[in-house]
Amino acid sequence: MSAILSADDLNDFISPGVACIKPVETLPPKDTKNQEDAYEVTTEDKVQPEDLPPAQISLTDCLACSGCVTSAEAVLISLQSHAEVLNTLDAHPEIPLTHEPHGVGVNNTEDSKEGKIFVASVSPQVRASLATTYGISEKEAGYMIDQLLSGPQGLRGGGKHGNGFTWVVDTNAMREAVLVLTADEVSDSLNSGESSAMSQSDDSLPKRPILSSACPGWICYAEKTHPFILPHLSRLKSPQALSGTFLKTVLSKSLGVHPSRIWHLAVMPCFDKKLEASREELTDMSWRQGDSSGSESQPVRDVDCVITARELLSLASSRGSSLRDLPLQPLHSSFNPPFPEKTLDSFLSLKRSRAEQSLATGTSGGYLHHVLMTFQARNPGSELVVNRGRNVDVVEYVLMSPEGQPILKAARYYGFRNIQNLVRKLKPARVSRLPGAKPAVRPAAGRRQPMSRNAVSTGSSGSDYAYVEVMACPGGCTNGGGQIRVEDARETLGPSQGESLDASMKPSPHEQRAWLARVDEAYFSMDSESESELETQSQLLSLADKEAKIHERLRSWSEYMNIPLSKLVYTTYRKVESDVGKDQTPANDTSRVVELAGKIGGGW
Amino acid sequence: MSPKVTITHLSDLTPPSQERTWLTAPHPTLPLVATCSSDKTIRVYSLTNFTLLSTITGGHKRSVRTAAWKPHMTGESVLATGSFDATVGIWRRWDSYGQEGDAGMGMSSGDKQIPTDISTAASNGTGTDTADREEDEEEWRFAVLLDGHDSEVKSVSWSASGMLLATCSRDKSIWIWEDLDDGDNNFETVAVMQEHGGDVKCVSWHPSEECLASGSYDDTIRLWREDLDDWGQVACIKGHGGTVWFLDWEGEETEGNWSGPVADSVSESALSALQAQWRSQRALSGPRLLSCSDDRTVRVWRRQPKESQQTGPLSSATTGIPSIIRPTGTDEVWEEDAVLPRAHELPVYAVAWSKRTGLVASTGADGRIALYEERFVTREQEQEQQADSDAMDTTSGDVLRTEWVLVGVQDGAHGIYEINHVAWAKRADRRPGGEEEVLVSTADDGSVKVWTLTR
Amino acid sequence: MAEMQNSNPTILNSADLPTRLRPTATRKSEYGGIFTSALPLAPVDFESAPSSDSEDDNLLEEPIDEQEIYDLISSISDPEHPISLGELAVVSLPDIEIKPTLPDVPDSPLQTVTVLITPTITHCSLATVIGLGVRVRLEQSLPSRFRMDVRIKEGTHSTGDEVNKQLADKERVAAALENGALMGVIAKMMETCH
Repeated sequence: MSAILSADDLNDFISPGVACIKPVETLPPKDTKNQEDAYEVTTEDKVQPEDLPPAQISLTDCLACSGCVTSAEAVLISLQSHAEVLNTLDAHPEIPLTHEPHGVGVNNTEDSKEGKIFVASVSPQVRASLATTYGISEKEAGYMIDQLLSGPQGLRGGGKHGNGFTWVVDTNAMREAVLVLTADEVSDSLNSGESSAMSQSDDSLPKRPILSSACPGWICYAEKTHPFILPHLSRLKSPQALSGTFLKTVLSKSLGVHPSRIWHLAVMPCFDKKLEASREELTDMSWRQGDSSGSESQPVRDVDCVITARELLSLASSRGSSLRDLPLQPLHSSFNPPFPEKTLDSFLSLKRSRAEQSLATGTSGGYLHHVLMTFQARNPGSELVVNRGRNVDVVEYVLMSPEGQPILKAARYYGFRNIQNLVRKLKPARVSRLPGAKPAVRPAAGRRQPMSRNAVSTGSSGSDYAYVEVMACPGGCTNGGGQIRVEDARETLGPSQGESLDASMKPSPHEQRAWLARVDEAYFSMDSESESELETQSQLLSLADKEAKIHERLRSWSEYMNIPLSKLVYTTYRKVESDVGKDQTPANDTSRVVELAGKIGGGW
Repeated sequence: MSPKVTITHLSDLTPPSQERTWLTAPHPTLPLVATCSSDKTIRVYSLTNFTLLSTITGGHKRSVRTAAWKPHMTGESVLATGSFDATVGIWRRWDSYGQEGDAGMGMSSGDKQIPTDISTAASNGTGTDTADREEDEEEWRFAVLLDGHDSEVKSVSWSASGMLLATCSRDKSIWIWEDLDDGDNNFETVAVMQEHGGDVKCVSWHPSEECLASGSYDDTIRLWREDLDDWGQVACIKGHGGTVWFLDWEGEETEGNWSGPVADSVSESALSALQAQWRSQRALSGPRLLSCSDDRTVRVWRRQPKESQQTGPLSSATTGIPSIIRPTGTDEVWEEDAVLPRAHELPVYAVAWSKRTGLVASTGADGRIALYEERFVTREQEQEQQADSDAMDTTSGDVLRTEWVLVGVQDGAHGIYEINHVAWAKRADRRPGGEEEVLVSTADDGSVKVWTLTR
Repeated sequence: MAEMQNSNPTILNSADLPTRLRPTATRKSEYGGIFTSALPLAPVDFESAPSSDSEDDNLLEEPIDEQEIYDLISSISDPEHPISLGELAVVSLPDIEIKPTLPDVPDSPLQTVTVLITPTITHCSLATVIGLGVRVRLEQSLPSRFRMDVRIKEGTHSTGDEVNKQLADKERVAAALENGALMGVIAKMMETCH
């Protein structure tokens, strides 16, 4: 399957499409690049020191066309690298913490004001990737990462300050919250109005069908290419973003430290997450109340840097750490301080119970699955009917009442080619340009089921769905562009398999499928880390109880911060207008030239 | 002495577009062609009288670069067009050709001179010209515009069955669409392939299987097939030294089609025997692929028959570990079968392999049309060659060898203008209609010329 | 996107459809451009010259030579700065050559004009735009029997081969000419011509 191959890493910038319209994002102040400097064609050379790896975006990674990423953006993204992590760790001392009876606090007398607090969040797909690479369990992979990031034999073993990460959290925790909030959003949407065509009473509610928003490749693509999709996008932040918001808000408040002094690294399965981290909407501007230090300062990102699973390997080796040699044990408590805010600590230690991630949920978090389970629980006796679409990445679900009435229709669309078909269904009907021509008639209802050559009925038109989980990568996030590939794994493990390995030879699709299956298996094998009896009891909680718990925790978070929950958990999207070729900016010849200069081959 | 072929100008299609015309697509069954122009229109001409039947306008916002007729359509013609505006247009028109007793709507003036497949003669002739001409304007119906490509669409091609449409673009991707044929003009995206390293200049389907060939700015030719539920690359042919502009497949062995290479001074029965032997030797390879490139060459490629891909000691069958050394079962191996005699000193933009006669035509920036023929290498010639050179001829006496010979050239076929495309079509301007073919060439000044061949 | 032709409001000094000018009997000039009639600066449209190529040969003219080519292109400005390509030494007379296109076809009137460009910075991404501008200028000004071959001078650009391939690709160039923004930039570059 060519879709699995994310091996198209380029050593150069991608040749952009006809008109890349994504705006150049500005970086936090330490970077000198801004709009004016971008005028200089040589910017990319100045910013990129030699030891930085070349920009690594794979074409199959990002949905937003082969050319959405301009040279400027590619630079932005290349700045988020393992080298950057090490540089940052070396550039700032850690803010010393004291362990006090009521929790953890900052040792103000020793704080040099140059210091930072380092925190990290790790996604489960990354653990699965690591587990498969090293032949260990997913839990052990988690320990390995903890040891690398926080433990004495990991990053702390080197560098100027011997810095490491004070807290390493699992994005699963925040994902649980996003799942519950997604179900809420869908409920609200179904309750507020029957017709999807009419604007709903609550204007901020997304239009039906609600489309998942956790995948940044999808978001980028929708913003750039199909702005009519934007009103359908779920308002919720992704688990990465929400983890960022959580960490920055809670830590800054509880430790009395400005969010800019908290440096948050996320380890993710793909490169598009780097784009997400640099979004303007995902900064403290969206949740910060007016306070003394807020007004003039630059926005602080919720996530400062994202590295991929593959880059984690580079991170370790750059620091001279061998991942294989790290102890596969939980961190010693001296390296694992409790979270400063005790009640919220429990939020972060939310564990998944066994077998909640399975083929049914997929490998991207299971938003759709959770919505379906929630509604099924609320409708006793209902039955879930599954219709596979034209390929394994398109699946339709109908929740049928005991009387045979559809309660809810939802679907999953993974991969670029399938997303095309979803988007087409949602596109507003186009008016024919031809005078007197007879355009294809599209009746709003009662369409004949088209029979495709796969002899599978493609089912309902887009507007029937209540929710669609959309992911850019076929197979879900375990197949992300930043995951460790089978050829990388061979290099890492060395020729220990009695076969002469030619690392330059591309593995066959069959091999890649086999590899992906193993990563999926590792992902699905995530089990509860509970050791206390108290925790085991949580497995017996019903869906509704768990939901309630999460709502309660979200409430306490909001109360603690004194910020409305909507500001913490919701985000917005913006239509990226092309200003290339538009006549209303006649004076902007320079900007046109700038634009062209930023594209390979001048953009043609 | 190989007999030469004379290329004789028969007619121009009139009136032509005033701007560059990129390609002419002959209809699979009817005596029509569609031409694509930089003036954003598609023009449909009759091959019976070489005049304009209709002009399709308003669909595309930029140059129309390519067009292809959907195969196996009766009663209706469907045309796919690709444009620099990054969209693909689908157009439909009811046909009245060949429909018995139908003198009605859609018949344009050009129809009146067709050879009588139409049983009623009532459609011929009198007094309905103007009425029909008015209806001409509404003949072509806009069905749907397929978007998705990020930049200019360079080529479109329908699969042999007509169910799939392949499109390719400067955005380096190839899209495969399925025509759902649901009466609602719905097309669904089946696959998006992004392996090419540069613009994809052309796509062309295998004559019978669902196998797609693509030629690119990255100098490679790639072949694609469906594996499980996704389309993937099964071969990457590297050999050309420049952009691959155009591809065409060899005709498959069917009634009335080309039977094989020719030979001089050999009796007809002997030739048939040779041809039969040659065909059976090549049966496992399947039809060959013809390509032309910026590197001024025209080449033929042949697939290695499947049996020759051996399983070695390191195969997964023996060790249980997936092997990365040998190509997997899905991969194909293609080799260069021939490089045609050099006839162009500038980029070659198009080639066409006649399904009826086996002749290959090529054209390009030099404004020249060249014709090539494949001939058996006779025993005498082989011995001559072996005597001439020290080259080891490893072919055994059993394997029939062929060579390509340049048999005809027309310089400056369109004056000083570059020729963008050349295609074979069945001749239709004479009665009784035979199986003769004409060559249709398309040039930068908008002219489209029709040529006959004589020996 | 804007419709491409005639979309740039700043250049309205020519109302006619763009045509290749016939090589009328104009004199060579020591300064400025050779063609005295206003050059249409809207994106080029390969209007057909008289269909018969013999007409070109009939006209009394001095053959177009390298000096004329230089005069045509040296006044094009750099896209980023209001300095001409001649002044920047991006184009120079020794780097221009005119040769028959098809040496093996003696009757052919086709001539190839080869222009080597020396970009100011070795990795300038605008090299392709400059090259395109030179090509457009020449195509608009010279008769149809002239073929353009615009290339980066060897050794002067880090991705010279790639740029050359792009500039030599007829289809790419044709599509570029339909790109409104790009043509806007090029039109601006040619404002200083005449």
